Amino acid sequence: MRIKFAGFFIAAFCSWSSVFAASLTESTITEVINEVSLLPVNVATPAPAKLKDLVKAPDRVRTGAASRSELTAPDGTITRIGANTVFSFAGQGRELNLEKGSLLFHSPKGKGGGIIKSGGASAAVLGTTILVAATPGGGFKVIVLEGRCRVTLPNGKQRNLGAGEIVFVLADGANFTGPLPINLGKLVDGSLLVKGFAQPLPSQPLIVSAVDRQNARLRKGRWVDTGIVIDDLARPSEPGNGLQALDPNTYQAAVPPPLSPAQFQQMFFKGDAANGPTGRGPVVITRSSSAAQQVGNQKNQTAQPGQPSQPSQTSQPIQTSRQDALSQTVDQSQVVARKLP
Amino acid sequence: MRIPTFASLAVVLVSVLPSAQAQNPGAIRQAEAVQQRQQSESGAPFKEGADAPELYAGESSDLGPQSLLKPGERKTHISVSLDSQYFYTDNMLLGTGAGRQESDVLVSTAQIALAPTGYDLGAGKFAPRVGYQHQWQNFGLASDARLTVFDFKTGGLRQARLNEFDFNVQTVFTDARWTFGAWTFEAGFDFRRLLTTSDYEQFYREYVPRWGVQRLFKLGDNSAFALGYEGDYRFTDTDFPPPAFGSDYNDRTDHSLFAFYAQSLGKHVVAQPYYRFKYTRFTAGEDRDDYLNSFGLAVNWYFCPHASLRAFVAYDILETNSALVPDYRAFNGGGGINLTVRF
Repeated sequence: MRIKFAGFFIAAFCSWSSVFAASLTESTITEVINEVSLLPVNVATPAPAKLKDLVKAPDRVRTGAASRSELTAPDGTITRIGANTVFSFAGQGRELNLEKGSLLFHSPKGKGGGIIKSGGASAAVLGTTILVAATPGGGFKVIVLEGRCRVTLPNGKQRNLGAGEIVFVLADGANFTGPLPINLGKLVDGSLLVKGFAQPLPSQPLIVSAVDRQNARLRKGRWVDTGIVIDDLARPSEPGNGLQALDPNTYQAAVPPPLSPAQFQQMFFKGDAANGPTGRGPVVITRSSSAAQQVGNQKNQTAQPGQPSQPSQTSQPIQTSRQDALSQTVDQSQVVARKLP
Repeated sequence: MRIPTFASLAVVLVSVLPSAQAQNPGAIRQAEAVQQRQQSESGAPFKEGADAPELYAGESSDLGPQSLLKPGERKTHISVSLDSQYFYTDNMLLGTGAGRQESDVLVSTAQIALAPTGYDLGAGKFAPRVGYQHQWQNFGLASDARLTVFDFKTGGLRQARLNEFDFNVQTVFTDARWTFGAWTFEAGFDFRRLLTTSDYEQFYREYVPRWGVQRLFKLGDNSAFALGYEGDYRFTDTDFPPPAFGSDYNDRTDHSLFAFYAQSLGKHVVAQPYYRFKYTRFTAGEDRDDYLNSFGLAVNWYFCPHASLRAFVAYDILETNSALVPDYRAFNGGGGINLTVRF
């Protein structure tokens, strides 16, 4: 099936790569396995590919079943083509067109990476090794073997992938699936594009390192450290917001409400309340307020029997042996009941 | 992809619902990590260990078998949390009328817990925990307000700054939670004491067995609702109780009904309005009943896996027949930051 190439948006860094890096418009065939043929433009009959053949844009390379080929560019960029694949270089920049099938692309660091186009989408690659497989409906998938890769869609959406991650570009070319983790070691062990050639990839040590890192995480049972375990999240003993960081009644044991004069008077006479309520030193004394007075009076009228005895609940002079001290510091007429039973 | 999905909201709810005092800051939770989890779970079209189907003949041999992995649950044993919130309250003394006093408040909390990852028990998951928490409550950092106080230590009236009411809270806690589907049952025990900030003298202690149950309801991919009940009994020991009362005059039992809603707002933000009704019956001192209605809203921003920011507003309305404390209304509004590391 021939897949039409739609116009697409290329991310800024991809453009940067294309502009400043050496162009990738041709490569030399460095390995041929089984049925590989070249389809030059305006030539009806494909020619069998041979070692050292030069593949130039826009010539296409086609492979048959159980066939594959390796192309090496002058800058060391390697393109390995899988079975049942149709592939070509673009006429400019570092773009590769994958019409169908699969390929492995390796761009050495510092060479500008490359852009894989397939089904109207693009995958920009910089200094990494990836696998790309086109889907019959127009989308494709990208698997990162080592390093990092950014896949950019025509509408500007991007996905950043790490080693061992796969992303599917959907057939409409406008959406992704989320990056999914795959078993990198299992993939590499069974991949002919990685191991099915005479010469190992230059990035083979990096791939092995990536596999080792993933295996280490697998052994520890945490391929992805989400840091989240529902059962271990917040509990009652953890703080709430605002003053409810503590139970309000417990809070009032530390910050007691302002005392009414009646309550104050009672404690003051008690003599043994040397530290005040709850043992803390300062206790706020409320000052006069008509509203507070009313509250106090209303509460007085609804006092319930059986409660601890309370002194007079109206504003009155504080009668105490320490009254002199008090009178020096506060106008007692302003110390009124705020709320009383 | 919708992120976070219901599961992450469930995480939020599970994290906040048990909190007797409403939203839990973020002990918490790590939206980024939640989203990673959701992304990997909801976005995976295949089961763990299964190979992706070939798109064309021979693909698997060329590319290699693509066996999908599933994020494994990381086993951890220790949880360390640091939380700080700074807010305004219009009623730091929980008074009424002339007894109202506004203040800024800084509440800092450090907590460490032995909290192994939950394990299967019956048809659910069981997660025990034991830990220690220290909390610092500081008032009036940005206020020069002064109050007329009677200082029992000096025997006279004087002017006091708000920070004279600073205090510390120490809590040793243990609890266990059993989660079965949308239901969560929990029981625990706390020992807590209050200390003065100046000389670390304790003046209040409480021993709190507690229990609770909650039920989550999924409303959509990005929203969820929960109802629950919590109860406790507090055996208290108060130094220098009011005259005519014993040191246990704060003994009480609390019973709360709560309703929470959680709505994701984008990728890293969750809004959580809540309502809570709490009935408190004092059992050893006054013949006292408290009715506390609390409602509010918190918006949490989980900007990295182990840290979160939040903004919140809350309003409390208390009605009581107590002779010792008044009815009150209190508004709180502010923000906080939380850092939680598990290992």
